[in-house]
Amino acid sequence: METIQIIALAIFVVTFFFILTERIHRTVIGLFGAVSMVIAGIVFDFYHPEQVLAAIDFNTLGLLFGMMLLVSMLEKTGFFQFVGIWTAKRTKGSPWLLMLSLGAITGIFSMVLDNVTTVILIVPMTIIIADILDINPIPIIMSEALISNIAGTGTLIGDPPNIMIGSAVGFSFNDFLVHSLPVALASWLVTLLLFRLIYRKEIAKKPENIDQLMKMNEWDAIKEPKTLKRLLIVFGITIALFFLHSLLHLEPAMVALIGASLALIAVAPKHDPQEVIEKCELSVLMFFGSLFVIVGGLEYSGLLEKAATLLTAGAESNLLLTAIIILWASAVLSAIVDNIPLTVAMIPIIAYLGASGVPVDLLWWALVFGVGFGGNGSPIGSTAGVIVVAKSEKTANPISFLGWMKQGAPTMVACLLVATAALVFFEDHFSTHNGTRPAHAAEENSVEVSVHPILIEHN
Amino acid sequence: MELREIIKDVPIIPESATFREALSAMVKQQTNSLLVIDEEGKLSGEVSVSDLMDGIVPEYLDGDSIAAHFATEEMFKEAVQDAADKEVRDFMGVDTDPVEVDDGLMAVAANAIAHQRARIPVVDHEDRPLGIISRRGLKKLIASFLNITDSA
Repeated sequence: METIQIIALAIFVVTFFFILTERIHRTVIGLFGAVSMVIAGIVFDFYHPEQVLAAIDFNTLGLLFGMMLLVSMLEKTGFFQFVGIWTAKRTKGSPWLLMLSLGAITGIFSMVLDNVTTVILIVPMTIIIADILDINPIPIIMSEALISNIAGTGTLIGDPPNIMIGSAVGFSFNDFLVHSLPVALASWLVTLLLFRLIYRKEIAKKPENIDQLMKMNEWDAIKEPKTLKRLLIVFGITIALFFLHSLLHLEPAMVALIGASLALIAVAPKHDPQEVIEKCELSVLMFFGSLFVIVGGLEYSGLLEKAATLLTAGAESNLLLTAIIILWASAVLSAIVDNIPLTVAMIPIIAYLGASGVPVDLLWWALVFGVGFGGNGSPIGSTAGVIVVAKSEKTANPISFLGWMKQGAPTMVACLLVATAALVFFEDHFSTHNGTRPAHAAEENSVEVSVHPILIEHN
Repeated sequence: MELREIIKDVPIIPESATFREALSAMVKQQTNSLLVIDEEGKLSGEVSVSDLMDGIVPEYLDGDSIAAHFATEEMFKEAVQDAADKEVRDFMGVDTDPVEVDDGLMAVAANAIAHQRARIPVVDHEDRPLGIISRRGLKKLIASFLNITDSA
């Protein structure tokens, strides 16, 4: 191993150690690691400023930023709470129907918005409704957290790892609808059957005070009707553009930024958007950007090529087995540690294999399912899970670590079995882009070449 | 008039005091704020009525005023009961930034502006609380420089 590779590896290992053990805030240590990598790259002449810029996936950052802006405007309107109450009233208080319907709206929102926002807004409403009905809120909020992770796996914009993988490979919004959404929906169905079994006692409980639920006026939740109306129109346009982005040759980030700019024009054209921007998680964007820089340093040092060669030895001869290993290994790791650094580290490894001529689409989808479903394996596996556990603490039945594991771990395993079956029985389907690749990406001989310039040099 | 002359006594409670004890002190001594001390007797926080509310509202409703709108009166009563035995350290305000008893009046004015608050804790040189400077005290202090009195 060359000196520059040892240095790059040391920076990567130290930074990831602190990120994964959470001894230092992930953004703080991430930025420190990124700066260290750039300085080392300049001093030892293996990573230069223009290469650092090339390593940062601005499509991912732009997409996240655009969607954060949209969501921060939408969450103030009371729309989520409105939908929550409206839906709950349709169930007439039935615990099973509440679990199904509130889980469904959480899932649907999670497909187009970030899971954390969805869960933060739906869970308090759920606890209040359960309190009124004198039923245990835990089965319902557990299902909301688990389904938000499952459903988010189904779309390009549902989960940050999907955005990263989609951007790195050139998978379009529709690619996700054709490939990962059916698996997410099937996993969702299996999860519901599992809920039915695990929570049969809670589901059987007869709710009290149904009249109080029916008296709740969902319209009281709407704080700014005009703003909401305008935002829903903008949101509709944005989703339509996501469906059409590959036809229109628009990057997903561009679509999200078009949506955000339209929303700002529609809602507060004369106001400084500082207040809206402050609500965006800029710390998260800085963390993601730092990860791209750190992993970029590994790439340019030539270390990732070595690691990829080692890790993917023999993969070409049995791609399906490799896909299944990636699926389960990334899921187990995602249950234990943050799935974002895991995804950022895995992308160039699979990309190297692809750049060597191996058809790796199957492996990309395995990674999508692994990091997506793996978050349900433990209460610390996803931010949505962490939030639900924290919010449950002041209820009559707080969710313990073991309490989560009883439902979360079987759910993760069930979803992984569904994904495994999908990869095995529909291997050909998952081995193609299904002709929906963006035109600009299709012009490239190799998908990875368009995203990781370093691969041009190494290959 | 000097700063010492306008320091108002307020009840001082330990961090381990309960919500019930804090509220009881506020009601009995007809004050809207308490100062909190740590085990060494140093100022570690303060409790205002707003901090009491913070102790009552369940964490799952933190900052969600839209969802809180739908919570019933019964839920609020239960939340108050649940909060009764909470320790003050769990809900007190910790951004006290007190002034020292020998600080200049301009420093006191700057502190009031910086924190946009009406009550400023005052401590001695060892960070032990002496009381607070209230809105009324500040007004009296400023008025004394312009020779404005109650009877004017």
